[in-house]
Amino acid sequence: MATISYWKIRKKLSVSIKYLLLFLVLIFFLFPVYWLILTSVKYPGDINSNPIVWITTRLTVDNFKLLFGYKGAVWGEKGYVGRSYMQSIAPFLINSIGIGTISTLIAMILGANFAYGIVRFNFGRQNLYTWLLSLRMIPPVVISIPMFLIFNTFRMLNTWTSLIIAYLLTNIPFVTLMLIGFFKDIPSDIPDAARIDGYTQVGAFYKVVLPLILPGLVAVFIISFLFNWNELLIAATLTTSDASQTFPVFTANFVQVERGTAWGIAAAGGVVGILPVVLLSSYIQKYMLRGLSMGAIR
Amino acid sequence: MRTDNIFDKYAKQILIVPSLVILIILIMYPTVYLLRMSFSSYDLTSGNPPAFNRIDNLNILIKDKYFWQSMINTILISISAVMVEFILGLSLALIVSGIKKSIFFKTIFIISMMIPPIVIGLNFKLIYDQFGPLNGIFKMLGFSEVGWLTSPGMARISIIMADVWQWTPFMFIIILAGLQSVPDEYYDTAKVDGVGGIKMFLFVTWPMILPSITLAVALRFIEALKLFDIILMITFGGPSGATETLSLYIYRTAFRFGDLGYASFMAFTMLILLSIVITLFLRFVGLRKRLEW
Repeated sequence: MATISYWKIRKKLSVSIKYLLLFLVLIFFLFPVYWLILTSVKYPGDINSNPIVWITTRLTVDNFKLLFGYKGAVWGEKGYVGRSYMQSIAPFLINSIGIGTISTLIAMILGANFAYGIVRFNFGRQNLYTWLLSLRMIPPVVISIPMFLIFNTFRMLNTWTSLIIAYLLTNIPFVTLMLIGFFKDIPSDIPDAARIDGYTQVGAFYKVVLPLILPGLVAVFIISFLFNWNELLIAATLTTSDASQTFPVFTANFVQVERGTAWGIAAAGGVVGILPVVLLSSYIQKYMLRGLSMGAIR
Repeated sequence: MRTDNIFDKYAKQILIVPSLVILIILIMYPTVYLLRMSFSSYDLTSGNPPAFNRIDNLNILIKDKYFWQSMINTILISISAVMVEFILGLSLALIVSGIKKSIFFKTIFIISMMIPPIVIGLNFKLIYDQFGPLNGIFKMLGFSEVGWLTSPGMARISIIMADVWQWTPFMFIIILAGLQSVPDEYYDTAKVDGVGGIKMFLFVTWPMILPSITLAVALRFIEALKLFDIILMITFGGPSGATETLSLYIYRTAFRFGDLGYASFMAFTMLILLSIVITLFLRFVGLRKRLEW
């Protein structure tokens, strides 16, 4: 009997240690996100103060107001007047959304055709696959230098077009690799049957096959868009003003210019930056692994 | 069946050619440009047009201690970060695989991978602040304040921690997927044969998840070599160049100092080195085989 209860205790102990470990890991991963959100709604005096404000009810949305270009008096209490020279983040968000959407959309159209052609006609096989994979893996800094020079000679720096084209270079391989996986999952009987029904090859693809992978298409679109949303290096080299600078460039410049004096506003910007991911994560989570391993894992 | 229609006769060409042509132009034009620029001297600040200088850039590169320093930094940071991520990811996956609600962890972790690196940089800059929460916890536990970003060694560790925060989930999820694909019968058979504990892990689990692990490590390592955003935000390469990576150094040479010729040459060097790494991985890891259709 004694041995049994000993084993029971040991088992219970190991289970509770397991959960304790998991709890610590969760804190490690959740704390930074909590801290970002908390900082974004704190008053300036409570940010990195001594003693540290771990949790507070003194909350404000003024950081967000300033972030979006509000020019009036803010941070009430002491009558602090906001940074009226602060540039609104709005145009940068529009640039990010616009450039990401258009570039991804073009890549989707080209990539879907490409991927289907590759699968349907067994085109290129391994060598093509390796080529696409290596295109996807080129470091951004290597792309940015010649792109900068090329767009400079065409007088196209600081335009949406330049960034859209530059992002195509990574978006097309990504979309193609991802969609190859989806098309391979569809048995070739389906387009074959559609052709007997009178569709052409291309028609069968658009009318029959493409609708079948619609959820996958949406997921690939979202993931590719998020990659563009996150991209800093190429955007930073090809743009110079709010005419085409994207959200990451804004954040990088903001922090470098402010040198840590406006943490609340910067954190508010960070919260805005993670919004798309948070909103879309439940939809893409099924496909995320596929996306990050470039289709290697189903 | 219609076969006379152009959408049927030339279906292959219609589907493949436009993308292929665009992709080839998109990659060839910049590559040729980069190659040409690599053997030129071109200073943005001087206003002179690019001039061919044969292999002068190579001679500069060999003597450029900052380049070699940034190369060492990149390799050091990448290897340590990936190693920590692997160990944490594997342990976490082993713990969680027995729990029914593992989907909960997956959803939380997915978010961290897709957060803009720039925001992670910003966030960790806040956390590493002298009066930030990390030092706050240290003081609560009775330790003294740590200068997270002031000494070269600590700054590297801080950068690695930020990377670990973002990418451990990647390892975790891939390894977990590998673990969950091991059929239960394998474990049952092993149990019948009297194998358990560490032996079970070494001889049953490990060989089964090895392909997932090599894939995760390979992909992660290739990505880690391009580390840029987080460093730009947290340390900007400092202190005294301890966290300067190849990407950051090339970026600064090109766009802060305006030396585009030399920066091109370094970028080209980086491209070649990375191609070698990728090719080796594709060979050894069998990534190609895993992905073939």
